[in-house]
Amino acid sequence: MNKQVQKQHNLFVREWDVTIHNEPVHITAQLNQELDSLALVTDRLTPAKLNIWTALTALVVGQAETRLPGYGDAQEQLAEQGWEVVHRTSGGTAFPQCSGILNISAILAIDAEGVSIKSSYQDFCKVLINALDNCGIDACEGQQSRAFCDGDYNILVNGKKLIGTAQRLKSGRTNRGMLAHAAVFFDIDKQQVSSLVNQFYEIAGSSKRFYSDAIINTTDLVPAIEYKQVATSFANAFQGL
Amino acid sequence: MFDINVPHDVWEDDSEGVIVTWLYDSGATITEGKPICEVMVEKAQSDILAPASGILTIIEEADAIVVKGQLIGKIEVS
Repeated sequence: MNKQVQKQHNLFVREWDVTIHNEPVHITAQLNQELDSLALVTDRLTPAKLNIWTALTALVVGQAETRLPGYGDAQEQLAEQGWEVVHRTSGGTAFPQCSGILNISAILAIDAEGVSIKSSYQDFCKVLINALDNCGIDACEGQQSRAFCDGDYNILVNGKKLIGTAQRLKSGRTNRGMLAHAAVFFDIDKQQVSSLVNQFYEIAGSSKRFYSDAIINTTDLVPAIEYKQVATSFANAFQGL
Repeated sequence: MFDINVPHDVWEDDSEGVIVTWLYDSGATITEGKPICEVMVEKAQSDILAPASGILTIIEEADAIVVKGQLIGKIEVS
């Protein structure tokens, strides 16, 4: 009974137009498509959308990273290694994308008077934690400053970052919309991606450095788990199933 | 002249945010109600909409740390 009451008050537990991609998508196309969806959802022209996807290899950076003195060199050198560098308009810093990362994009209309950033992150994290619980993973919300793209609302397991979150808020003339994004480490080469982020910052001229032992894969916790099982668990949790 | 301030409802507490980017340069003609600037707090990025149409003057550049209500630009109404 208590669980049901909690679900009814969670901003993110609702009816969604759900899409689960089974093949990796191109990151730029996906980000652009999500911004288009956010505009439509904000104007109440389409219902809330939940996209679950993986991406082809790329390093996604925030706008601030594009102003680092060596950004152009970093972009060029990482591209030579097969890592296209692209920038996004949701919050956050450098974050690698590849087929081993499962992304969840929840795009929804919110009240014109606005929704608290803090409470919406907390609602979002509750759903993510519920989905992980259904996969047999005991997780909590928190910071991990040694992991790349840190924030106040990561999902941690044993103190290590399993999921990163970010938001994009859009204001229309009378309506507002939100894109809440979660990136789940499903099965990545932790050393490779942490080194890649460090290499980017070093070439770009930043002293930021991060550590592979601060992140953890879903498959480290449940070795036999499959992408479809995790994707379905997240989709169900957002639908309150 | 119209002031462009960081809106009081863009985030809920007294946190500091950062100007992520201006979508126009100083001197550009902007249109009321259109996004002109993006700000970020706690990995949440939001638009700031133009309060009037006219010529933009940027006061706080990208990467500046800002608080709610802070003056970040002006618009000269043409």
